[in-house]
Amino acid sequence: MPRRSVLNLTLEAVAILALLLSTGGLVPRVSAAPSEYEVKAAFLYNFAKFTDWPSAQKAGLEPFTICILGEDPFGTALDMLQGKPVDGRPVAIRRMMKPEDLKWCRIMFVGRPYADGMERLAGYLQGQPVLTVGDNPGFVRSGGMIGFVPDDGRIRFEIDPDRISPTGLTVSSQLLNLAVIVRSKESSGW
Amino acid sequence: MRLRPGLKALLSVITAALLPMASSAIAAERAGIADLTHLSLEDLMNLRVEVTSASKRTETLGKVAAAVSVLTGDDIRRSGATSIPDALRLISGVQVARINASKYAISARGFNGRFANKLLVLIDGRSIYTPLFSGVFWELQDTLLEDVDRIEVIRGPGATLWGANAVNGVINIITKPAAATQGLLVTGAAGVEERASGGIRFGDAFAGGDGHYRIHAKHMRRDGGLTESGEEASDDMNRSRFGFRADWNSGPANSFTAQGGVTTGRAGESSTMFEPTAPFARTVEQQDRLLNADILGRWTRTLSTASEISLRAYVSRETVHLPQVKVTNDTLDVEFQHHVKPLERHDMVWGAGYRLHSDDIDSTFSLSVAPVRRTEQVINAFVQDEITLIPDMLRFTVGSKFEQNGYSGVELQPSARLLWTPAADHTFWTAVSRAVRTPSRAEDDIRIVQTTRPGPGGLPVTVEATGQRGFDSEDLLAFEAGYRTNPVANLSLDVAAFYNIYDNLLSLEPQPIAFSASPAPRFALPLLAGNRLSARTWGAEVAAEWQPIESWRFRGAYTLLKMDAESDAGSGDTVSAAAANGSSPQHQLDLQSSTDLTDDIELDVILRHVGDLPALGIDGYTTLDARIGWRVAEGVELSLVGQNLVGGARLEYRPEFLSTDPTRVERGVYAKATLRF
Repeated sequence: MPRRSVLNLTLEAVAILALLLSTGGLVPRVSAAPSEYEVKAAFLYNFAKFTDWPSAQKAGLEPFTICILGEDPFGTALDMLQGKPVDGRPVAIRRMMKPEDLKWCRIMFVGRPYADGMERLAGYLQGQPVLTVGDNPGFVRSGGMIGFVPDDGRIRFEIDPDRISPTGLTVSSQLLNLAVIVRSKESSGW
Repeated sequence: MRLRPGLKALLSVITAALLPMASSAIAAERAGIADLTHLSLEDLMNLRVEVTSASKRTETLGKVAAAVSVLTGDDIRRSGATSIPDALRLISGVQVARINASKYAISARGFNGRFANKLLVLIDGRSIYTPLFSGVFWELQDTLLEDVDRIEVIRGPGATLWGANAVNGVINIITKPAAATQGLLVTGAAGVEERASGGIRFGDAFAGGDGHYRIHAKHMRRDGGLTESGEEASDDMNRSRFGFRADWNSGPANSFTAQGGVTTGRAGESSTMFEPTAPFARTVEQQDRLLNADILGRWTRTLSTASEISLRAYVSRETVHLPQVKVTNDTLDVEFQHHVKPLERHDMVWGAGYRLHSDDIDSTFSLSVAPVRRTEQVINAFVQDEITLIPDMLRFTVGSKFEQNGYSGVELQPSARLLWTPAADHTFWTAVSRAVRTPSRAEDDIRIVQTTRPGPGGLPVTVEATGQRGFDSEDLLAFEAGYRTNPVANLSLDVAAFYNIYDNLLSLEPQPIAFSASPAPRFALPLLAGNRLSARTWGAEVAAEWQPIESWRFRGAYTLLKMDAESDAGSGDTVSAAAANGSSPQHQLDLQSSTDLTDDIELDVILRHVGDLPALGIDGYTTLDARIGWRVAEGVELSLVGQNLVGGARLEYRPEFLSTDPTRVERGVYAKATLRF
């Protein structure tokens, strides 16, 4: 009798396990730790929420456009932001291979190969109310506004406020408090 | 047979619960992408990610060929734990027992005790191990819990990287980088058992944003427990801590950290002291004085994306005035490490270190140590190579530590580990390792009176645990295996099993009774430290985490530990084996539910069961902690915590060697406010 119960229990356990494993086959795999670009996408959404664009851009009902210039390292991670509200507008994602179309962009994530020549691109974008974000090493020092930096398995970000303020963008103090402030030499007031 | 309908019902409930879970998982994770936009910036910054950038050696849990658990700072906050030992209770496979309000017995995989000596504990890379007995004075260890980023626990030997004494496990307490603790934080709490505590922390940037620092001060007061007969005991504790940390970069390649602090306090205890004259034994109530001071510096230099060196140095002093003994112990430690990928499939870490210990011990008749001062040095070198045999599939890790110490000479501690990932969500690992527990002052130079009786001629007859310089290292040969899986996105399961063979363990060999004149005339029965105990332990740790919906997380852990210790042939020790076998719980179960009732209200419930300790006459217990937290406004959090809510006041442990009276842990409630600016 006890033997029988143990057998039943084992069978049920196997059935439950099989069920768990079979649902595992149906559900897309997501590993325990989120991937780097899932986290960076969520950061971009927060940057959008904690930055104010000049009022001229607030007229109309265009979507809140986040652009990726050049190579897209996010894969599909960025598409998750699509349609989420920022400032009462839905987020739209645009991928561009050339910087010309930037008037649509509120945030521009600079991928390769543009990120490697950020000095040039920064000159081109000068004064435009576009928040440039990148994750190239030294992105902010070479002319970007917000750069992701890895730190012991986590993601932090650098901000150069001197590069942001002339464009009319206002970054909230909450964002600045959490950022590593980097002031690139050329904009240090000389 | 009568079980069957019940099981059927259970199965259908589980099936019903699983199916919607699977479909909601599909909806939430379109194309396998996790939506993290609901997280705050602070949460995002504290999130560990699978970094694809090749420069850092960060490994996600799934890829470690060892039994590892991690407790995050947020887990600690939500548990309501007020001290490091209480936070460790949340980790599967760790045995924590409170002796009195300030003293604890903590171990993993057995051999628990106040002077447990097979676990290595580090805070930010600084070993808090004391060479007096190869263990930890837990009453000296404190930090602002809000600063703790995570506590990583490796169960099983970690000697290859961490060195001697990482026999049964390594506890690594890691604090947040200063950049993550900016601004002002003020906390205050008041309650029944956790009487009053308060902390303040301030963090800011310097060097134009290239550096960050924080300073903190805290104070805590804990009420005493109950004596065995149910009266209020005098083991109240109060403890203060001041500490700082600064991190800064010099260029993109160099990063520096400096940190340190001072902990002072007083802890009450009631203890039996032995004396050479009548009445030979008396009970003293005393406030132990505690002091711990430490300062640490670390420099990391990135040479290339595949190569990084680091240099770390610290000095620390700990002072404890117990009724039986006053100890001051100073440590200087320097370690160099180089992490390099010399070849495509090799990931190597090698390094070398030097440690200097110096102590000063003030004895009593109850406990004496000779010589009064001793200075020892330890020189070590280690190398470990992680070889990818099949990319993303099979990895082999091999390495060894070489250590030279003043007690037992040269020790070799190799290990080999294999990690097999047949599919992305299934990881199998297995390991075989050797680790040693090197002798300490306790086995070499100590003499502890265990009991006294009046004897002939008005002289006492004493039983004394006595050290001897011939004591050798304790050895472990460990076999381990484990499996980790994420069958579905919101469920994870971690199983580890081990079989440990210990040799040369400490035994106490009775010697003939003899007249002894020093430190006082008496007839003494010495129990001389020997290496004549062996043990086999085996067991398993199972941990599962299930998050059926976004706002509810459920965790469960079960630990099974079997011990079979016995004296070797020729040993006269009839006590140690039984003590070892019966002083760690065979079964331990933890269940924890974390719910976000609304965006602003959190509810946490923790149910724990710990099996009985027959050698100590301690009954098993089941207890419940609960916490409700309310985020009143941005930066303002109030919480109410209930601890040990069911089961009544309980005794958790009895100390070995020193005759400190254990006290019962009582039910407690406290309220806490946390403000952030």
